[in-house]
Amino acid sequence: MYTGFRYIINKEGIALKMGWACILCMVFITTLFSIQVLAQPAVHVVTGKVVDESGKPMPNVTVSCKNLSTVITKANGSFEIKNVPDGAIMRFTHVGFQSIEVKVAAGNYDMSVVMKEAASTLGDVVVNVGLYKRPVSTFTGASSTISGADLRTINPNNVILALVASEPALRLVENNELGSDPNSLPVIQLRGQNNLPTGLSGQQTGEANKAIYEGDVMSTYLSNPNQPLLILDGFPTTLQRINDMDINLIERITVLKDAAATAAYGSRAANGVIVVETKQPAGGQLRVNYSINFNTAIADLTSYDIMNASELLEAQRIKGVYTSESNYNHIGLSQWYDYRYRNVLAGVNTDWMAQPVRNGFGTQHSLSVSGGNGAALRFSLAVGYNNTVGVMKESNRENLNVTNLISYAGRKLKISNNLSISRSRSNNTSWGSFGSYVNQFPFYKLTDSLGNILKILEPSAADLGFLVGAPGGIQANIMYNSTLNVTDESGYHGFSNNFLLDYSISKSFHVRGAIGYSMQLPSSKQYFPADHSSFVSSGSSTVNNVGSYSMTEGQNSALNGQISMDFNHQIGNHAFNASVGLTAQQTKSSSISRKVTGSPDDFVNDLGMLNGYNLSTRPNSAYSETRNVSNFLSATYTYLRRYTLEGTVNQSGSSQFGSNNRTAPFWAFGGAWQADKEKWFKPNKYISNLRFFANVGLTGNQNFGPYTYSVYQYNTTDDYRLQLGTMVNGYANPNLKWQQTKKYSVGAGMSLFKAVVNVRASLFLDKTNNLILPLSVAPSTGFSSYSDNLGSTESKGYEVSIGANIIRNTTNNISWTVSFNAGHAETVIKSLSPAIEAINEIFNQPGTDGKNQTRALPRYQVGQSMSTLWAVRSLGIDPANGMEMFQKLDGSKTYIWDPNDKVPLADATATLRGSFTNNFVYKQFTLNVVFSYQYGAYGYNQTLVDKVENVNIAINNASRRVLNDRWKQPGDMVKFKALTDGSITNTTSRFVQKNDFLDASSISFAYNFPRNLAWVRKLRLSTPRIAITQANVFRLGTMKNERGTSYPFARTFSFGLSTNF
Amino acid sequence: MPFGSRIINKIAVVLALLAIAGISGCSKWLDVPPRDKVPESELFTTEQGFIDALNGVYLNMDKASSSGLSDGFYSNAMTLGLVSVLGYDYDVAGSSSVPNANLYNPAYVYEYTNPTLQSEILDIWKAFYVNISNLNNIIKQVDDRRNVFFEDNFERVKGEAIALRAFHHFDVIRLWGLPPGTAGATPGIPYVTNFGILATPLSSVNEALEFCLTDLRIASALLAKTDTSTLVSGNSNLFKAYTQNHLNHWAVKGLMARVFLYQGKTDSAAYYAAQVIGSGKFPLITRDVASSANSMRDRTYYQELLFALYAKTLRTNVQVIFTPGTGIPLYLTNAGLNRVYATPAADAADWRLASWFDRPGNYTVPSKLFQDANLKYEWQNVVPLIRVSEMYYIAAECAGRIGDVVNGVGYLNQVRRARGLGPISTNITTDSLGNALTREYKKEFITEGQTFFYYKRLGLDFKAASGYPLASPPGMYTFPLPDIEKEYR
Repeated sequence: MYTGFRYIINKEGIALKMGWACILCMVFITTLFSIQVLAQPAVHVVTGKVVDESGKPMPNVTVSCKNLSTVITKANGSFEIKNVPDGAIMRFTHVGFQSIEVKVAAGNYDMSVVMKEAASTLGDVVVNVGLYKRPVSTFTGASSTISGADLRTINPNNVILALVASEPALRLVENNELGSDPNSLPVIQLRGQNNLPTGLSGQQTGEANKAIYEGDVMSTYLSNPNQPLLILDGFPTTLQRINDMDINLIERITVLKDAAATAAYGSRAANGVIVVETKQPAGGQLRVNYSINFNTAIADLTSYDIMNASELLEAQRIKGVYTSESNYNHIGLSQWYDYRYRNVLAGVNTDWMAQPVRNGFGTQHSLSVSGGNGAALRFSLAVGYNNTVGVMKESNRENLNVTNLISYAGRKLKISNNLSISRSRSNNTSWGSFGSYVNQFPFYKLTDSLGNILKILEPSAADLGFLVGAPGGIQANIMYNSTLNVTDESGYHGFSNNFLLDYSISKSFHVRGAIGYSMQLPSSKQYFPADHSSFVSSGSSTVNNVGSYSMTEGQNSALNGQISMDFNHQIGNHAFNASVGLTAQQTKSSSISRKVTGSPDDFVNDLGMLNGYNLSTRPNSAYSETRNVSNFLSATYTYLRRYTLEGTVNQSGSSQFGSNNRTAPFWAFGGAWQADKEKWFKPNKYISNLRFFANVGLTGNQNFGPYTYSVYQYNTTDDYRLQLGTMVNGYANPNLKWQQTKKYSVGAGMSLFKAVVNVRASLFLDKTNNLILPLSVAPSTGFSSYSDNLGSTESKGYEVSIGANIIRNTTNNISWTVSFNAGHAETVIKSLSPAIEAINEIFNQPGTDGKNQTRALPRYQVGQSMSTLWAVRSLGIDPANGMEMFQKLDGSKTYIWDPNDKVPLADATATLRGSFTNNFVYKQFTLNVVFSYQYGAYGYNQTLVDKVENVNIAINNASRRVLNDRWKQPGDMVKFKALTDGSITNTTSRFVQKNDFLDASSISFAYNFPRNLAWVRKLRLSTPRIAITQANVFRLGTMKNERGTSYPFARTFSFGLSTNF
Repeated sequence: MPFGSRIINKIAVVLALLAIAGISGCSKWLDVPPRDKVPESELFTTEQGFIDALNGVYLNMDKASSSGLSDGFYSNAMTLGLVSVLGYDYDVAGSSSVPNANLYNPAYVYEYTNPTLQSEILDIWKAFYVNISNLNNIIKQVDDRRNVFFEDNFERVKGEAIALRAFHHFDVIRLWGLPPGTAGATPGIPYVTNFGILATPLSSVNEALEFCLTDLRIASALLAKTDTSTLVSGNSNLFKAYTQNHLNHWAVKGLMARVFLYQGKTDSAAYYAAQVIGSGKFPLITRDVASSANSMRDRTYYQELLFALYAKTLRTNVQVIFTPGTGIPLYLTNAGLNRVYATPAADAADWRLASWFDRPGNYTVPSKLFQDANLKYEWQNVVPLIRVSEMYYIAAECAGRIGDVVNGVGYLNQVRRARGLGPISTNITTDSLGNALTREYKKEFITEGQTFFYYKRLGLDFKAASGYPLASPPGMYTFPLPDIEKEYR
């Protein structure tokens, strides 16, 4: 549905459309070609019914017949398959049941099939490690698998948000500033963070370059060194790619957490691995699936409680904004007070917060066509379009994906090719930061008497004939920018193709080879005309410098190759699984950005029309290239289907390692015990499955920049008698190594009460060594520091999940499932380099040069958690004078804040966090509710500090508590300092608060239309369904803070329709 | 089937071996040098790379921003700025309204514990050693790459690099080392010759001076093999152009005279000073430039310069210090000016007084380093670092030390003649010659920083020698080692 794109109609735009049309045509032709090949003659129609051993009808059983279409059984267990020749073999398969093959005898075209439960229900379930697959029963690592369908129930629009809500080991680092900005990428961590945020690891990137680096496989990991490795259909990918994916294409996601699960990835495994698999075509009849989602986003402003016009004016009066010791000034200020007071009386009470927000309406379409010639040749074509509309006006993100998959499965040879083309376009709001609307005075009028938006909010003192200028100065209206022709957009074109070949040498021996190439062409442009508020202070004399146009273009590519072999063999009680493989990757990324200035008015709005480069602007370019190679051998041995030993070794090499340490060895070793298979274990009605596992291993992290190359930096701005000069750029450490994380993990899983309740639990301990940190050296060496493997951290925690099928009535299709999960992960610093201690020192300096510690600055100390909050212990507000009293380290009391008195007060990491879900199915209705919660965490209530105490109400509006809860007169027992106290509030324990919350992440309600409805049959629909989902329904929290300071959080409603044809 | 499966098994084994062994052979493939910067291994494969690395050091002598010293190293702190303030070249550095008052005010009273001054001293220290480490890397690489050089460029690059290493270290000695007469065996400064991250142990002032001289001897021998027939200005071969802006063959000899004198070896100092003077390459000026218009006025007496830094930030630095936007510039009071240039009164006819000072307001600022934008290219952005007049002074001082006052005064009078002054009598004592030299140093090297080192070398009572109004505190001649450097000792 690419018509959803709004292109500006000009030559270029049409050309772009044509380009897309061509690509679509080609893909269609390819697809049609593959359909063409498949024409078949008709013979018989075979019908039948599939039941289990107890006689219950079995829906969703796959019925296939060689060279014919594959169907699945309906709710009543019935099936119908056409064109069956006599003597054909029909195969019935279902997860957890033994497969059955039935020969079609002449005349018997109505079958009755009984399927037996497989001996081990878990035996057929497979864990996909990305590089190889293992049956769950022989897997000794901690992993969890979430199906695409479950993800879509939680959040039909965003994969990442849905995944985080269902897996307790994953944590979304909440960005209180950017809120629900559709164009900001989430930050995720798996089982704690193993890196110190020294600024060392991430490359500096400006806003304009954001789009560029997010698409590059390497820099996406550099910018968040704690990010887990993401694998999409076997190859490493970027978070952006997953974020922009059509969620309807996802088959399942596997989260690999510990060493045994991830060791095959070697030096990239330390942060865990997330394996995303897309749907494979089912084959058989031509199937069309279409779904549409209407999304509404509504800004959640409930956390804001700011003063209205009269309250603000009163607070300002008490604060003394309108009084002065000088009589002259006092009269002038009183004039302003009267003027504003008259406005308030006249009813001016502008709701500034309402101006930049809107209810966003977006749509998501997903169309897929799949089919094929039985099991052999299959294809699918999927087109997805998603327009996520933000709650700030004009902000949105549009994604278009076209995916074409063709696969051939012969007796020995399987080939598949997956081609995907994507386009993403995002617009940022021209309305500016939401925070500046919160700060605006409500007694300002929005428009003049003619309804034009004011550029300057109040007449000047001269205009009004007042003695002095307005207190707080002249205020420009940031909203005025929205009336200008501002451009702020970015986007990319993406292309990827994966080719996979699988050859079965024998029944137990497979060779696989895969090659993948992906390319992404990101670009961004920003245009601000001279009238834009960001140039207000530039002055009009420099006409060549006001108004700017910046443009950035990049090219990222990744080439991946893989070859691997699997060996499975069983002799009596001995079972072997082994995989060996080699992977190689090369990534390249380049970008160029330029900024020109001088745009007298907003008609002059294209790169070439502006005046030229400013004195201080020049083009910038960046280029990076990395290469990785890694091999692995993973083998498991299972005895008596009870005892499993698994070992994995990996050798990784990377261009990022020091030249003296090019390759690194990694390993993991683990064991699992299926206790319920023991002879002494009597089958009983309480425990039906009991399994334990434990493993240990060494994994690595290479999410760091190339500090290993000695490079020279040219100085091109100066010359020495017309010659250029170059100097060495830092000391390169040829001995630099990968970071190592030794992971210990134990876990257990059991099924209780006839598998009604399933419990899984795991415990982990990760010890990271060789953390790359800067080490200071004597300045007489000519260097201040260099990177070395110095620090170490330790993360530990656990995850528990309990799922229960309280009601399971398949006959009437009634079920009620609840699940609960909880997790904890904390990281403690074990050793540091002196350079980090120097950062602590800087943070311990008293506020010099007007700098104050208004934020809880990070402080890293050996033995402390990485997220410890440090602040000076406060004894509260002295009722006598409204001043804050502090406790010094020696216990004495003082009014003077001293950073050296800071103590570790609390940990921002939660004791427990997780989610619980409730899924209720009654006939055609499904209700799904997901809550997420956090308990035992603390936070520094920044907005309280900023909006109640450190606020300058002469220029900013503030929280209502400024007027109501601050100290006014002796004897007031209050929490906040005197309103007249102009001193800055530095980090104090007063604002360290519990940060527990309960978040209703998602509620969804779905209805499946019965297939016997007249209109359903008439339209030949197969499983029409409507679903209503609300994300972020409400939040109950102990910390009352303003959320989404520059972009509000949103509540989203989705209304979705989907059907098969 | 057995046959087929055997073949396939063989292939499988080969593949498995490949997968396991594959990595060790990949070392070369994994070698991906960064492309948006120049890798060292690539830079030093060409002659131009070495030349650029050497120019990098010259450029960093102007503006050593990488070390935090953003407003000029040899184009400010080491010349017209801090070191001139320390040498009491300006009367007003203690005033609160001079530029960089928070730096110059404590410097004016030698309060080396002041945090601003301390951090400036650290930045200067870093600037020296950043340059030294870059020189060390050139010196380390150059011998292995001798084959990439043409003509005499190998000798030039290596000679200049080694000479610059000595030049930098010598100034480190002059700032952080104890005065030469009192230093003894006290550990002084690290003389760094290796490129790496291990701290070099401290050497005493005398040891460090010996290291300097060793380097200078090697450099001198190398540069003697280069073309020294003429001083070149413009040239199509840019590296060989502007001889005086490189630490050239003659400048090295001049520097050796300076170092020997600092060490107290007057005979060697005299020998090298005489060599430079005798070369005739740097004739003293013969006419007053004061009458020339700004666009023609060669205030630095360019032909006398053995080594001058080409420094594009000089103009800004001069502006900041001598014509600041707010406050008052660093200037000389009338009394101060008279004390230096009109004692005795007859010396007031000095060409230097006429051409090196401006009166933009009711005060006198040095305009010696003011270089008009219309001046010829060669004379622009030039910071004098070694001038031939110092060679005459060295020769004079050395002669005086051995009692040859007549010859000593003779050398001194040659310079006086070139400054529009009459000769002084040859019938004076050694001490009087010394006093006359002190006066000449003050006049000649104003805003060049050399006076401070002159006082220090001779251990002069600073107040008496310079006219400084306050009692001079003990230890004023020696910068303390930066704290962070001490951590590695």
